[in-house]
Amino acid sequence: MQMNLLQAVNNALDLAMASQSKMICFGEDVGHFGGVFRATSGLQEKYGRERCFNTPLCEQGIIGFANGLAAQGSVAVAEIQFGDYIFPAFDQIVNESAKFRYRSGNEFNVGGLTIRTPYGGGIAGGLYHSQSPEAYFTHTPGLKVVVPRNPYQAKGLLLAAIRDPNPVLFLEPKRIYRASVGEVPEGDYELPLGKAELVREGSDVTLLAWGAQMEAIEKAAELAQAEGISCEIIDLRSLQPWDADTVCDSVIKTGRLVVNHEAPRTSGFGAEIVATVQERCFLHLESPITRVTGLDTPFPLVHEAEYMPDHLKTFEAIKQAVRF
Amino acid sequence: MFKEFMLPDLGEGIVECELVEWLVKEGDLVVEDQPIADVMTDKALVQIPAVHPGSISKLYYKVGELARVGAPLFAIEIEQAVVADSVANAVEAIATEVAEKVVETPEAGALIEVSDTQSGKAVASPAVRRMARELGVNIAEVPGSGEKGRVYKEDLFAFSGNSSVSALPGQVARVTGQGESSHKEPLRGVQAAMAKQMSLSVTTIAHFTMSDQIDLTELTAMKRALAAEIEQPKLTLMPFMIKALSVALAEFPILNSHLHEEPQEIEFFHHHHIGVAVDTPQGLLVPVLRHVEDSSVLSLAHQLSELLADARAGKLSRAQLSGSTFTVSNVGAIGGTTATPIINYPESAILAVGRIQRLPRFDANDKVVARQIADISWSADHRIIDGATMAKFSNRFIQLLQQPSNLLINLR
Amino acid sequence: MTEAGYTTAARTSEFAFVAQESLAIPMFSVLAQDGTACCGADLSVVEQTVALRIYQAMLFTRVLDERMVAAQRQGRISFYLTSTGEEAASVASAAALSDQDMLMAQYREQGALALRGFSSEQFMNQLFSNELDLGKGRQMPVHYGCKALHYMTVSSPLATQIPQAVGYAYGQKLAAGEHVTLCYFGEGAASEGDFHAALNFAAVLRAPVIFFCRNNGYAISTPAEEQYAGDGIAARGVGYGLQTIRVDGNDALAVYLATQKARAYAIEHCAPVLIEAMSYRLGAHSTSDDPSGYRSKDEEQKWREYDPLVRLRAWLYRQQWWSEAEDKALDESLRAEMLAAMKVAEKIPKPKLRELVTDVYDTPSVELRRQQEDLEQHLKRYPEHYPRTAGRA
Repeated sequence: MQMNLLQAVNNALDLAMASQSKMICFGEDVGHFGGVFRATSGLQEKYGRERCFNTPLCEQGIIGFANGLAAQGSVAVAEIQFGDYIFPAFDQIVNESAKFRYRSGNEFNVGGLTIRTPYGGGIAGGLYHSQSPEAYFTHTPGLKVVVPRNPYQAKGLLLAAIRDPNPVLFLEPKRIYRASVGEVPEGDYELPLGKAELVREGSDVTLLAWGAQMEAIEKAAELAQAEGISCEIIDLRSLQPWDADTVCDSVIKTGRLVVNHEAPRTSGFGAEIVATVQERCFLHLESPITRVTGLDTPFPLVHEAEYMPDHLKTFEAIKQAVRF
Repeated sequence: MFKEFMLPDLGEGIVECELVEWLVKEGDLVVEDQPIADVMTDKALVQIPAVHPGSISKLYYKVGELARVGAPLFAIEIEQAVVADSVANAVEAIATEVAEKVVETPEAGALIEVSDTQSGKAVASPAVRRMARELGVNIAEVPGSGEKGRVYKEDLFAFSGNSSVSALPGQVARVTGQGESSHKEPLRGVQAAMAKQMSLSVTTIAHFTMSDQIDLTELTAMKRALAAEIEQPKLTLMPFMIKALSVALAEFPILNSHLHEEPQEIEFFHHHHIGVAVDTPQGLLVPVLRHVEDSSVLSLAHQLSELLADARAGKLSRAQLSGSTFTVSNVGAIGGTTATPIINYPESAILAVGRIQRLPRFDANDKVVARQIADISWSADHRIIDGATMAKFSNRFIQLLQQPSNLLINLR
Repeated sequence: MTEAGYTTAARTSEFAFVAQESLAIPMFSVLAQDGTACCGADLSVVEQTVALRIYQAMLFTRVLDERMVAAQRQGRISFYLTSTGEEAASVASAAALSDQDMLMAQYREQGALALRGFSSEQFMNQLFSNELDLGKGRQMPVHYGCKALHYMTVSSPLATQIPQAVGYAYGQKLAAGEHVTLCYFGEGAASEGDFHAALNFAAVLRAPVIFFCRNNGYAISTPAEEQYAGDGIAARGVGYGLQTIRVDGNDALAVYLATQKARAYAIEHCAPVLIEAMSYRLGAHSTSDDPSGYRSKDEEQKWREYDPLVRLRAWLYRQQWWSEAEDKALDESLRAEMLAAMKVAEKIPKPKLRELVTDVYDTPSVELRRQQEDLEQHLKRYPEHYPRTAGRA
């Protein structure tokens, strides 16, 4: 059936709660209200206040509490209202969630933990409702980081994330919460974590992105097509662990790579991709690997359009790569 | 003035709203900020007020329908242009001025040539790609001699197609006010390699040159007889000369050696890899015939014709261009008689063969006869080869070719 | 427990938990809704000029909020957030301070800024992110800041300003400038770790800071009873060792008097004070929110009867310091002023592109300059796609 990305997330949570009585979801405003974006709509009515509820306004509390729940054996799905507000919980995530299993010699783990949070710009959210914090977390061994691009992906990846035996940070592209609509199976299904998806085959250049930026690279590929350039498009989907094999196979085929992400350029996750690809595909590169990214500034409000690594900037990067 | 009101994004990323109620109907007069409609997003019930006073000329949706963000919700006929105050006027003026200042820049590079990717992509390091670019070579077309077809610098040198080594646009520096030169070109590619190699050779090796003449009349006759028998390859004198050279080298190993400076030692080779200098569209290249000591003249003829074909097609691999122990330059094929060839460092000697000429000679009976004469010039490294050795070697080479039967009995 | 605490604690063999109800903190209140003094309060201490200044700033705030909600619905701005029903708390508390005292706000204290003299033009410039906005168009609407008015720029993350206020006040103490810092926040933000750190630091380090909690009953959709158990935020002040008072936040005079006392105490004793102002958020959390999803119209209606504007106005009429005619005239002139200011502000150009890269550091890094140049080239190529700058560097 047709769903938007929010409905797909809601549907995945609903199915997970139905299939696992131990699953609990909580966060600021997620209970009766269904979350500020409505991702948890109807879940409290259906499963009761004990399994879907509001927490006090305290991110470090939310994740600390979630770590304890997961350690006890419950399936904890915590919502942080905006990715920009995840930082009070940073200690709980990088020092606790990520290291629980390792430090205890697997006496204890928080594998049942999933953290959902909306990320990204394009909604006039300014500095504090637009950030893409993925790179802070991909730098932390012990966490998985997943970003869906559309409703079908969101449902399958979220179900897999909830059932994965490791803590997973699930970043939801808020810009396309409602704008991305597509066919989603009604049943229960999972999509693999740690696997990129080849979205479109091409021969001249590989375009790589994740989440909402997939739209930008797809649009750029259309512009390029009109100029006779054939783009191969990959959705990375999982950032930690990430599927270097699929990416490198494609780059060996096309000889060129353009990576796109919203977060600032310096130390963005694109840097990790570029480093790995040049190590593995050095002799196959026809041109330097380029990154189309946000600027090294805080996320602006009035100059949002200028800041975003949009389809036109991507198109220019494609042309440069092919002309190099 | 007719003006459409576009439904704004009332939340964060709202794409549509349900029209709950119209608070006016078409034809109604409304004032600024008067509520026009109630709409329901999935987050909130919102009342939309008018921006301008006027009469409602069109309502675009029925109650219950979904209104799209960014599309017109209603249209209004504005009664009077709202008189803007002087500040706003000034602001408008600034804005207009700014808009007019925007420079139109033409779309750079309207058409992009994408390399034909059917042949796949090249496997090469960025440094080699840079060199290919400087040579004006499409690296995707260069056959690589390395693993998985990896292209090395030497493969590039060996390659020529229809691509020329002319300067790339914008790389020719125009010089004005100097009557002497019309322009300057940077030295690159094969030319640059040649310059480097020859400077090294001349500044390192103590060259001396010795010339002599060979009477090739008998060999020419023999070759002609054989050529009638053999269709492929087209038989030339070169394979015979190269075979003779190999036989002579076996007897004078010092001429098939490399002198190393640090530490000072002479490296001798059992094998005879004979480099053959070839003129190609890119310039001077030296493909190598390997293990001449084990090859028949016919086999050498085959190898040579393949090498020359590859050289002219620019398809020489790194392997085909490296490892020579002695070099022959058949400059006579183009022109010239004697020469002072420069040794292909770090080899110890080189042979240049001049043009074969039909010249009058005295026979045993002092009769003038027409003979096929070629000039040959040897350069050798005087640090390890003296004049006597060179002359003896030269004599042996000449003997092998002037009486081809001598060559025959020495074939293994 | 330190040895001193161990030896000074009274001893008992009677087992009893300390009942959390044992601390029933009352609410300081001086004005009834009809404009008469209540609880036997003496209101003669309030000066006419101060009272009128408070009321006019409250009305300014109410009119600004109404104008801007409509502007958001008209698509003129992307976001707005009203303080309807809470004007007394922010305006009257700011009125009790010196204008040189530092204010550190959350995001619903436009009234305090209005009282300090931030003009309708300045409000509009921020709301429309134009090139005259002091914040250079970088933050969402309502994130005001003004150095000249000693009003720290607002940031969205909750409660971060609370420990900062402690540090600021400590610096003021060392500078011996007889100034305090007042920090606003909501009862939701008081759940954040930063709040607890701040109260403890302030008490231990003796910082002249006034913590002003606007307890308006809701954090977006979450009602106070899902935010905390126990006796509100005030009880925490006691626990951390602060002078604490709970006040009727819809009673402008009670807020004014309580804040006056708090300031005097903070300066005299070099110590923090916590004020919890009980109020109600009459409007939505923001224009992105619809309260009908989590509370009833009846509840809202009930609270309209405690409107702080109505209450103070009634008292001013009784004092004969203000009249209905004056009130109507001020209301109309404010509406006209806001409309005109809005129409000018929305036409003023947006900040130039270079403001995207300034202020990240004191001077832009080499890499950022490079990125800026690339961006400028790109915008020249496609000016029509970037209407806000359209090639203007």
